[in-house]
Amino acid sequence: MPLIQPLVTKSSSSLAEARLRAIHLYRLWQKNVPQIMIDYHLSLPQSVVRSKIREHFEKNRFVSDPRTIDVLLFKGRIEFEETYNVWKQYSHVLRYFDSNEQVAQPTKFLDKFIDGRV
Amino acid sequence: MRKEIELFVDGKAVQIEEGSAIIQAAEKAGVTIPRFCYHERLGVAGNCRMCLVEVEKSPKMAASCAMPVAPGMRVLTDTPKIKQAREGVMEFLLANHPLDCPICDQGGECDLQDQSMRYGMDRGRFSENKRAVEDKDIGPLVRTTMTRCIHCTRCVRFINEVAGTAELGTSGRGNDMQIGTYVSRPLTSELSGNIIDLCPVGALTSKPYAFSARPWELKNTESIDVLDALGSNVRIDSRGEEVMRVIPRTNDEVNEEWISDKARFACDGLKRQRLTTPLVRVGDKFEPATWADALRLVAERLRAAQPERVRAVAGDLADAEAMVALKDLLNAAGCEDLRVDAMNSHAVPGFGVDVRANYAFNASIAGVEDADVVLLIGTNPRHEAPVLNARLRKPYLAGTAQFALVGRAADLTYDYEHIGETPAAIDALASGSHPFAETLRSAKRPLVIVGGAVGELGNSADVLAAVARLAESVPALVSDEWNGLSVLQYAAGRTAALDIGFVPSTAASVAPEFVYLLGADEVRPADIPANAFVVYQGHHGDAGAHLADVVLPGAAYTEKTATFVNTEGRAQLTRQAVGAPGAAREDWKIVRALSEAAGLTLPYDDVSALRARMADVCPTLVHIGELESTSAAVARLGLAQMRNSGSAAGVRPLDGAFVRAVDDYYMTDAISRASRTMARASASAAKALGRSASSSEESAKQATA
Repeated sequence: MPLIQPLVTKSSSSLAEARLRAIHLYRLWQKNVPQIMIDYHLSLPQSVVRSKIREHFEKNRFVSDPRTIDVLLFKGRIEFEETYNVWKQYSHVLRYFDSNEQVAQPTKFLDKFIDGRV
Repeated sequence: MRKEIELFVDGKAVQIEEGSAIIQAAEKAGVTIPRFCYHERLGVAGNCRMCLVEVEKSPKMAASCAMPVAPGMRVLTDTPKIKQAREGVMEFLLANHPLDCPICDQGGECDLQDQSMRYGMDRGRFSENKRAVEDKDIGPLVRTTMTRCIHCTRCVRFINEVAGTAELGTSGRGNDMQIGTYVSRPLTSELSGNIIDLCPVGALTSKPYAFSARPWELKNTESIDVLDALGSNVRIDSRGEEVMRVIPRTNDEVNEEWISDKARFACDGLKRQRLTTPLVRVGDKFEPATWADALRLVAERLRAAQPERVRAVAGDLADAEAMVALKDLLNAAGCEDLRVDAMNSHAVPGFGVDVRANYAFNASIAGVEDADVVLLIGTNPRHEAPVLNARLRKPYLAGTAQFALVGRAADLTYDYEHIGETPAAIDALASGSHPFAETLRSAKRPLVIVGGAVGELGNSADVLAAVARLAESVPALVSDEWNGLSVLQYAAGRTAALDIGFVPSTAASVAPEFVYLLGADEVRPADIPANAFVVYQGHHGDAGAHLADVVLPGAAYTEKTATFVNTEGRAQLTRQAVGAPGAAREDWKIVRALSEAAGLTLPYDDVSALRARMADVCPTLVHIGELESTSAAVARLGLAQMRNSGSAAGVRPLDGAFVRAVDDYYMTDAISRASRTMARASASAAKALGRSASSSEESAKQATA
């Protein structure tokens, strides 16, 4: 039994409507941050989780095609459902934060050579 | 070109040259006829009877390999009668063939196995004992299990026709026929390994590869061979990180489908004596080091050295990528003393580097078949390029070419007129005082093959000036269709080095304080001052590495995708079959990393950018597989330059002798010197030569007794 109401899939008629829906999805995520943190026992500061959500939305900030936005919204909604309903497991959620811990890859040829990456 | 005629194979019309065999017409029509004895590059034997076909209006079936085509002939290749005949042939073959496929090395690539799937019976009617034949010892390379032999005689024909050493033959008739060397004697041909590929069954298999892998376990990588300057096309078969064997790949323009024994059997040398980690000399020992430390040390010493006292030597197996990168790096550092790993390399080799025709094999490898007079100068193609030597035999066998040699006499597998031992004989030809000069001048397609080592003699400028005078006295030698003055290089990396200009820009006489050896193993220790800092970059701990203060481990030719230019000037790529061992890296990357450590960063990070740079240096380096000829006008200019760089006729006598570029055929480079198989082959060849001398003494003694 899902904990959130299913949403009828629909397409945005204009960019303004798509933007509005994006804001709704963003608010849905942010509002549920405390609950998600409890459900998954996340030992991270709340601000880190919130900024990670922000980061994922920022990634698509400059998408301007309403149909593309619709797809992104749809996927974001799925992602939210899976997270909120605890269909994910601890490791799946932590995977969002992998990139925070990655060390920078060497960019210079010599460093890559010494690392054995060229 | 003979007249084309039309015939019908299974009702399908096919045009083919008059005189061809039916089997060739069938091949052209897309019908494969099973065969054991027939091989398109060997003479026809017609003794296996597997290729029987029906010809309409002919009462008997015909062996399609031996039956010439006739106009309007109607050939049937797939009738019940043919199937029955082939089944009969197969039953007779299998009657005496042992059922030892599970322990036979040919398993999985056996013609008999394959064809018995289609024409074999599921039971035998032969209750007698099977024929058993004693195994022959024919040397350390080819393993024999003569009981498996089906008497196709492909090996006999190959050794007699192509290799030209007349060592294998048949004795006895019918069921008692045996193939062997008559008396227990190893094969001395440098092409003997090819009989392993030719053998349709498991009678002749590879001795070093025996019982080590099955064909279906192997990864096949199409590459080229770098152990001589022909660039024979090979397939490297590897399992995991191990090269199991090397076998030839067909390329009619280079090696047809043969490779030399060194190319085939030296691959076990890739597993021994390898450099796997950077080494730094501490006292009289090498200590393992990290790449970071080793590169830092080399970069420091390179920066500290005076540019005019820096020297680089490119070895025989250096690839074009590494040489271009190293030249760019050292030129950026202000150093101009770049050399190839040869004798007298302190100056530009006698051939010069300005005109490509002066140092390339202009006639092309396939072109030697068209030659009608061949003059060899200071070279032994049998040892420097065995596959080319087999090609030279073709016009000899056809009776269309005459041969002559200036240089050390040797058994070349064809008859030649020995004009002289020393370079002085070239003058006799150039001035016309020797009778062979007339033969050469009246030839339609004369071919003069000059050994690569001639350009390295102390008086190479004078010797090559005499060669140029000789070349200019032969009218048909250089024309728009034919350029017969050909230099046979003996090292795979040499033509590329000369293309790149890896030569000193001025004759340097300053003792170096920093020496960079790029796979150079032939350098004389005396040429390197004791206080010089020596860096060796290469894949084997051979002679060069022992001189080094820092060793940087590189990749061998099976471990990198790199460009090599063969003696014709054809650029070809080796392809990576296995990974480099340990911390070894691709050679150009080592140079690129060093450039960054030294603060002279080279402007290429990946191989495509490097190849773009190579195209700037020499466009032919990136035209893979193509051959670009020099125009006759430019070639003549090159000849004039060669003539003018030495002294005029008669000014200085051409004294001195030719040097042998290849002393021991089986041990010419770091890979073959590390190979056990090559060591065995070398010992066996030495023994065979010694024994043939002593056995003649013995027989003389017996005769007197």
